[in-house]
Amino acid sequence: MPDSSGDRLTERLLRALARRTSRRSLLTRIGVLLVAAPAFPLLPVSRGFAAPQAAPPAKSPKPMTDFERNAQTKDPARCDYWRHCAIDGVICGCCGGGIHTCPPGADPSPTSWIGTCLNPDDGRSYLIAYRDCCGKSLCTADKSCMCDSTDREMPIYRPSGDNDIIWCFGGSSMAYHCSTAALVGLAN
Amino acid sequence: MSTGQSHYLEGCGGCHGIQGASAEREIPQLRGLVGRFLYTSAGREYLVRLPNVAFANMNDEVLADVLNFVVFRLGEGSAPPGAQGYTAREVSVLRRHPFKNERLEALRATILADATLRANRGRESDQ
Repeated sequence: MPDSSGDRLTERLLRALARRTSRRSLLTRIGVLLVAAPAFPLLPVSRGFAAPQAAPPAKSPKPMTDFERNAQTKDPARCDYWRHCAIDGVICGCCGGGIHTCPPGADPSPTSWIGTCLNPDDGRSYLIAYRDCCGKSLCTADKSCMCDSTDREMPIYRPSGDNDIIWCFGGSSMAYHCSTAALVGLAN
Repeated sequence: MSTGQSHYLEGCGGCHGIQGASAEREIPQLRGLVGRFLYTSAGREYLVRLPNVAFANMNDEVLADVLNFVVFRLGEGSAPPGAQGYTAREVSVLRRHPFKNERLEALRATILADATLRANRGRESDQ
């Protein structure tokens, strides 16, 4: 079988290398490699294969939303707080109220709408009741307290899942002041 | 939390109340009452054919779980003794015929009055 041009090229390169390199220098280099090898850690890939398979964390099977990827669990007065994944309005915590309490002079609506938010600390989803505080004009808070998160929100023709609605109905006043985000329980 | 309760809370509990107690002027009360609809077949069908129920964003199995949670748990003994729970199959058939042009509040009043009559008769016959 005639030699291919690739074989001939390889042979020429190897012969040129052999001419320029003494056997002793080659042995020295191999020796250095053998001595130095334990100083370098194994690649993480091989460690990953070696490790036993850990149980998967309890988390939502659905892909994470942008909100969920960036959510934090420390400051409820910011829109990226995990419970605010579906809030549309002003956070009551910025208006003299709390995460589940209305500011003085505003009353909790008897109706709310309920969303599902992922807690990044434990990877579990929780039902959150967004209960508007009503009976007082719109709270004038810093712009950073005016949120419009839309995780799992539904269009207006699915009103129970739409957060553009002023959820004050059933109460004495339809004047919207701010929104709370009370924890209802663990979602299935 | 059961599947029925979890889905009830997410899909219904905002208005009907986490414990089934709602702002009655706007939204019918469920707690301690809703099981009474099962005293008549018209009432049993009514609960599933309501647009908010029939068009709920749930499959038949989940919707049956939610209805049973509502009727037996939130209903707090208002259902007739020995009443059968809803099955997915029953829900599947009924939800294909949602109420459309009916006057729902008037319909509810009629059905509830009839169911209440039956419930009271049942109690009299027990005595």
